[in-house]
Amino acid sequence: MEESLIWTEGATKIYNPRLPDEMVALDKASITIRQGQVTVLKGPSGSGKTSLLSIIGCMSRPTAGRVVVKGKDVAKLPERFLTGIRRNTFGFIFQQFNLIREVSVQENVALPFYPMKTGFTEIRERVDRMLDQFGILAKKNLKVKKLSGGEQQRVAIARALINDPEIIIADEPTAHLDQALAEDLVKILDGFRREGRTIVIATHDPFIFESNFVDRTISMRNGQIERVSER
Amino acid sequence: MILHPGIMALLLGSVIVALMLLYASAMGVKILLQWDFQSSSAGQLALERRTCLISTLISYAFGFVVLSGFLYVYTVDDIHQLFVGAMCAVGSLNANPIGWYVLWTKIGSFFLAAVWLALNYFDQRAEDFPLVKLKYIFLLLVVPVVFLDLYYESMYFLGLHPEIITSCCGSLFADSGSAVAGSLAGLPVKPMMGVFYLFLLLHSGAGILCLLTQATVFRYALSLLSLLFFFVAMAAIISYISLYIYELPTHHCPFDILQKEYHFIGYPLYTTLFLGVLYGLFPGLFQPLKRLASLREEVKRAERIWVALSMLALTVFALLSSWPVWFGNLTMQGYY
Amino acid sequence: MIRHLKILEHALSTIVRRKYKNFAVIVVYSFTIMVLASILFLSHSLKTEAANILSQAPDLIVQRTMAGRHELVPENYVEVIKGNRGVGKITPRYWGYYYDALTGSNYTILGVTGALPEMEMVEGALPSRSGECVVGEGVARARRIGVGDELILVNSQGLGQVFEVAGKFTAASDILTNDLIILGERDVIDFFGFPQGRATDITVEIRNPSEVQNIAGRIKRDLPDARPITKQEIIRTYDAVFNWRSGMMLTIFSAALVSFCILAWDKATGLSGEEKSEIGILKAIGWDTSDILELKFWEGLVISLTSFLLGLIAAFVHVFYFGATILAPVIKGWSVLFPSFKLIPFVNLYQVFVIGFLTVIPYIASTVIPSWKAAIADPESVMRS
Repeated sequence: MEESLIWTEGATKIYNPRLPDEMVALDKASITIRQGQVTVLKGPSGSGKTSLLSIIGCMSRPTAGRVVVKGKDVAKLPERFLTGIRRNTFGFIFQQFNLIREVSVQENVALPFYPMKTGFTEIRERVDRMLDQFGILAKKNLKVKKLSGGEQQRVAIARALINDPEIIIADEPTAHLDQALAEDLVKILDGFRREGRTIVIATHDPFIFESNFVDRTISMRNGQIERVSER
Repeated sequence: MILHPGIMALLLGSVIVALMLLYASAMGVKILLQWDFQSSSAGQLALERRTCLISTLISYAFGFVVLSGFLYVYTVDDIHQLFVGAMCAVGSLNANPIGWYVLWTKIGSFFLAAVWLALNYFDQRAEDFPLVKLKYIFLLLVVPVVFLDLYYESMYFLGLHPEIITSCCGSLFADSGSAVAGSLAGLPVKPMMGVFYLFLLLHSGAGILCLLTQATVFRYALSLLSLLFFFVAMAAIISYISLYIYELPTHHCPFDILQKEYHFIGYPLYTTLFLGVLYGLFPGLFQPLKRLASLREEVKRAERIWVALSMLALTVFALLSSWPVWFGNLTMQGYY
Repeated sequence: MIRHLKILEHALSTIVRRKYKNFAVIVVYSFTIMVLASILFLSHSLKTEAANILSQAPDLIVQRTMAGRHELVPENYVEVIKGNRGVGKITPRYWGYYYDALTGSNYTILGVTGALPEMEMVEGALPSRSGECVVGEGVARARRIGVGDELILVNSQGLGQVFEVAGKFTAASDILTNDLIILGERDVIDFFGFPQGRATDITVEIRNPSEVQNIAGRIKRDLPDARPITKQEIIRTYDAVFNWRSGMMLTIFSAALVSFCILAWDKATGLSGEEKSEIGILKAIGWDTSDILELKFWEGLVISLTSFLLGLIAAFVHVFYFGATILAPVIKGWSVLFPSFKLIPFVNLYQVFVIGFLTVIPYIASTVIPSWKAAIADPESVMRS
């Protein structure tokens, strides 16, 4: 039952084209992400992992090439439609937690819902459920800056999952974590996999790409796909 | 020129709106020239983001136009005592007839900006920016009206001299008057009422047919009827509705109904009229958009809402304007 | 609907979070609004007051001009005016100005016969016999006199004349009586040395207000050197003067408005790194450019309305409780004997609307482009920090 949920064909991202500081971040990358799998984008920094991740996550549009998410070509989609897809399909876990530090845990987790039509009560229930699941319900009214690193990470993950996304995108999720927290994270990700979610992780941390919940590894170098290996 | 705070506020507001639209149209021209939907370049992305700024600017400008319409009427009313014989806003407007043009340019900018916003709404509903060119060409038509409004407004206020002797409402709308407004008042009440209700009936009929069938002709008919109804309703307000509201057989002023003495009845009256006419205009105006595959369903869906809203608004308008006629204290025997 | 509420909620929480920055904006904004609102409140209050006082004024005043200058009116004009239909009571008035070298101020001296109609607010009594006077609050203050004291004035022959102060106008809300001295009619004629049969001007009552203009025209025709002034004309002039003064003040203070807009622009443009990263985060977690624009719109609206209310309240207090200490001299006009009357609060919605138009619209307009610049932040940016 493996289907390609996302695929790209010749996806290219060039920053500042035709300018002296032109930079080819992604060079004709063609990849496939299959439903229900954990795919790791592996490579040193500057290899184009983040660019590829942001393109398949509908964060930005490629300069050239095709990107198809759930059967829809998103390469030319106006930004507000990309936002719509992103809201409903993806959950993001960033390298930095990207939380608003001065705001309560609860509000941080609820923020993705604000521009949507969900009612206040439903948001509150879902946020509570999510925080409970990650064991931080007791701290929901605290400001994020008062939390420990591990708790902040859980808040970030709770926020990524609040819209019940099909696809989870994680960008260097262990970069700022110690060993214990990284193990924790892998456990959580593995849990998502069991729930049938599709996971795409960009990382150069061997702890992730060597762990046995990874289904496919795509190695990248200089903006190009070097090798794809399946377990 | 009268140095009056309301006038300064109006001119300031109009200058700001004009500048905003000028900026927006400059952006619009840039988009018209450089737009290339097929390109994925950074330049194209920047243009797409500019469209967002332009629509924001025009939404704000639209809000300002609505507010400045009210402020204009209030200000003109407030300064009437500076003119000998002027009893209300009409007297101030007659002191320098350009004032009437300002009213028309304001109404014009209101409708044009509303149509632009509707176009923009559709453009944003489709994934391929189908209306970009149309939208910005149309914007270039809206801008001159807004500038004309600014020009007339400035000329009106600059040309006002408090010494000028003007006629008041009473004499302006006297039956013998030769001005346009005078002849409106001269319209006999009974036939005017007949025309008013006839048009209302025709409008509702067209509305119902629009809801029941898909035929294009009814949509065009509805729009045409809405446009005509706007003028009929204005004529009716001046000719007899105002009389019943003021309970005075000779006071034909279309502005005094906005005042507290008459329970602000003018606000719901004009709001429903303008909304009813605007929503009535949309279905016909946007028929051609149905030819675009990416918008057909969207237009069809919106159309039903417009027709319903237009009928609702005009029904409320009809009730509000009929109320004083049927239940008021004024009897018009001898004035027919 | 619920969407907008949630975005508004976040806007409020953002404003509260950045208290200091927003506080600064609100203080300056409120101050600007307070100044503009004070000008409008004050001039409107004065206008209304003048109109109230003038409502008791005669419908028509007939003066005479000679060689383009104001001249005394022959009393026999009364008979000519009486010939017009619709004319009510016609009264010649004797009054003039008096320069008081002692205090360096000008008084208005008005003669009355019998009881003055509609002259309230007198403490004591009106002059009932020769040698008595009633003084306005300003005169009483300048000369440090009260009821029962004596007022010495120098008449046209250069001789000092003693009047007994029989009454005093109270200070309550009256611009007109401040510098007024009321004497008996005979006393005025003697004091100024009016030629026999001449009055300062003639007041005319007219029964039907819509006839005023016609009667004025007819008087002008019958008496070519007469200068009829209608009450409406006076009200109009007051209106124009106050409009002009407040307009001038607004023009001067528009500099303040402009600098405020520059501040607003600057505040909106100069986003701190923290704000930028916040917008980036919001974009990344699924907020669209239009959502951020709405957020910014709410922020601007909340700040505007808060400042607007604060500014209006401050202006109200400044004008009506502290008598517009800062602005009064400019709006009221300069006069040595300045009335210290209490302003009666007259505020109408129109003024509030005008103030809103003058202040909120420039603010919103000057924040649109900066807000948009902030809103188009690349969602991807959060992945590249």
